[in-house]
Amino acid sequence: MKKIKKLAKILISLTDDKSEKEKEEIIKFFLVILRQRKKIHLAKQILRELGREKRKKEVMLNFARKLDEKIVAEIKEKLKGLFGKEKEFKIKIQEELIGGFLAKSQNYLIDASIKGLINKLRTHGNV
Amino acid sequence: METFEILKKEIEKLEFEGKKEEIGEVFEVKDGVVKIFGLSDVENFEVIKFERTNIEGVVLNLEEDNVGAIVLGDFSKIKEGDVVKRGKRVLSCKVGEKMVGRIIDPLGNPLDGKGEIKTESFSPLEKIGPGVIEREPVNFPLHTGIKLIDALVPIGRGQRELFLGDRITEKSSLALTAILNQKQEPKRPICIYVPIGKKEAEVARTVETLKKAGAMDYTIVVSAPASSPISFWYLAPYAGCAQGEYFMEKGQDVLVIYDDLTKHSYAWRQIALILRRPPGREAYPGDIFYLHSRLLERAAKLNKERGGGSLTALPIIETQAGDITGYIPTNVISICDGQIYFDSSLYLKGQRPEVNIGLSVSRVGSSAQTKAMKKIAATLKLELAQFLELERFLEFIEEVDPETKKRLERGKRIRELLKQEKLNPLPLEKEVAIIYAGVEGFLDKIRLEDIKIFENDLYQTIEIQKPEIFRAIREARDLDLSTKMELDKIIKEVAKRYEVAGDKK
Repeated sequence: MKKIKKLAKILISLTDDKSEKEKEEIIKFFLVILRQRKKIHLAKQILRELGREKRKKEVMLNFARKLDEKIVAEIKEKLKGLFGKEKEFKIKIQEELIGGFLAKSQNYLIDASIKGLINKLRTHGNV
Repeated sequence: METFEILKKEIEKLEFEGKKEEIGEVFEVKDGVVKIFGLSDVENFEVIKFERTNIEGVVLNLEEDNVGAIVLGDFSKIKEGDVVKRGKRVLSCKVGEKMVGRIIDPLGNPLDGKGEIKTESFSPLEKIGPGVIEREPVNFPLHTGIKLIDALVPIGRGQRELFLGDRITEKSSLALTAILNQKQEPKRPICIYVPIGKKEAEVARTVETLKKAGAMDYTIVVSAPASSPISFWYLAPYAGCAQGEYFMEKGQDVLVIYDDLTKHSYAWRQIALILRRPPGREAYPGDIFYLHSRLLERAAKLNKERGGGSLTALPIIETQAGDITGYIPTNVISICDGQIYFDSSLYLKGQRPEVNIGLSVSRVGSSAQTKAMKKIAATLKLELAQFLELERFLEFIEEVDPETKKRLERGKRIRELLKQEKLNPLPLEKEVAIIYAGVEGFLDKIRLEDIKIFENDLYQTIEIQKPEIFRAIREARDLDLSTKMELDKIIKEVAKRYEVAGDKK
C-alpha cells in the first residue's frame, strides 16, 4: 500500500504543471518502466490512488441551481478560509438540494442546503 | 394547537447554521464491518454516524489512510460512498435503576416493548477495572442455592467463577438457578443476564422463567440474540458489565452472567478477520486473551472507601468433546478465580448437577463460605474425591472389608443427596440441614432410592415441628451447639422412619 502511494505521488509530482501532451508522454514512459520491472499489475491500484490523491485537493461545491457568478465567487472566497487556499473547487448542480449549497472535501463537509435542514429535522427525534 | 407548540419548541432547539463537519466516505462494506476514507482525526472506540441511513457505528481500526468500524444496526442498508460523520463521543449505554426488570440491547434500547427507558446516566462500554488499592479480598458468600456448589466450590461476591462444559450440559440452567436463588437472599444483589448469540425463543423462555419466579424484579437482561448484528454480540458483555458497574459504584452487590463467552470470541474473531488483523491460533486475533481479561478484570469487591460494592462474574464457556485444554477455555480458566466443570459423561449417567468435583475449584475457597457451611463441608470435598477414586478402583471387586464398604456406602449417599433439580434453588438453612445429615452419617442406614423422599420429609418435619432451627441458621448464618443438638434429634427421628421401612422391605 505504501509503495503504491509513493508511486502515485511521484507520478503526480512529475505531471504537475505540464501540458496535456507532456503528461501523456510521462504516463507512457511510466507504464513502460512498470512493465520492465514486472510491476504492471499495480497499474490499476496506482490509478485508484491517483484519483484519491487528486480528490484530496478537490472541494465539490453543489448548488441546487445555477447561481450568479458573483455570488459563487463570494462563496468560494469564504470557503477557501475554511478548506484551505490550495483547494480546487468543482461546481455541480444538484436539484435535490432544493436551495442553499453543500461543500464537500475528502475530510470535511459544510451542509448549508435546504435538504440538509430537512434531514436534520427528520433525524432530530432519533438523536 | 398543543402539538404545533411542541413542534415549534423542538425546531427552535435545532441549529440550522451550516457548520464545517469532519466526514469520511465508505469504500468497503463486509458483514457488519465497514472501511472508511477520511475521518482523519477520529478516535478509537468513537461513535460515528452514517448520514443517509442514520445508523451508528464504532471505530475499531485506525490505519494510515482509512478507518475500520463496526455497524450498530442493519449493515445491509449501508452502501459504498455513504457519508460518515464523527460522533465525538466514545460508545456508551444508558444505565440506571430504571433498567432493572427490563430487556435491553447492548446500547440500552428496550427490547421488551414496554416503552422508552428514561434514564439520565450514561456509562462507557469499555472501562478499565478498579485498581489494586480500590479492592479488598472477597469475603462474603454469594449463595447459588445449589447444594453442590455452595458446599464444595463456594462462590464469593466479587469473584469470577467460570462455568464450562459441553453443549449438552446444563450450564445456563445452573447459572439461572443462582439468579433465582437471590430472591431469598437477605442482601440481594442486582442480577444481570447477558445471552450472547442465543436463539430468540431461548431468550424468551429464560425471561419467562425469571418472570414466573419473580426474579425479573431484580434482574436486567442485556440481550444480543442470534439474529442481531455481530457487533452486538461483541458489545453485549461489556454493556452488561457497564450496567453492573453502575450499581457496584453505588455500593450494591451485582451478579453478572455472560452466556456464553465462546460465542463472544467467535464474534470478535469474525470482526478481526474482516478488519484484516493478523490471525493467530485457531484464526483468533492476537488480542483474544485481552478481550476476555479486560472484561473479567472489571469484576471486583470494592473497599469501604469506594462504597464496598461488588461485581461477581459468572462467565460460561462451551467446550468441544470435553476438552478443557482448548484455546479459549484455558484462556478464561487462567483469568478466573476458579471453574466449575460440567461433565457430559456424568450428565449421561443421570447425575444432576453434572459437576466434575475433581476438576472444579474455587480459588477464593472457604473465605467465601458462611460459618455454618464451613463447619459441615470442611472435609466433604476430600471425602467425596476419595470415594470416587475408591469406587472406580473397586468396580470389579465384589468382596471388600467392612470399613471400606462403610466408606463406599456413605459416599454413595452423599453423592445422592447432592443431586438437585435445575431451576430449583435451596435456601442456605435447608442446604446445611441435609449436608449435615449426610456428613454425620445419619443416612447410612437409609436406602439410596429413599434419600430424595427423606430429604423432602426432613425439610417438612423441621418446618412444622421445629421451625426455629431453620430460623437460627438463617439469621446467624452459623450452626451453634444448641441448634446442632436440635438438628441431630430431628434428623434421627425422621431417619428412623426410613430405616424401619427399609428393613421391612
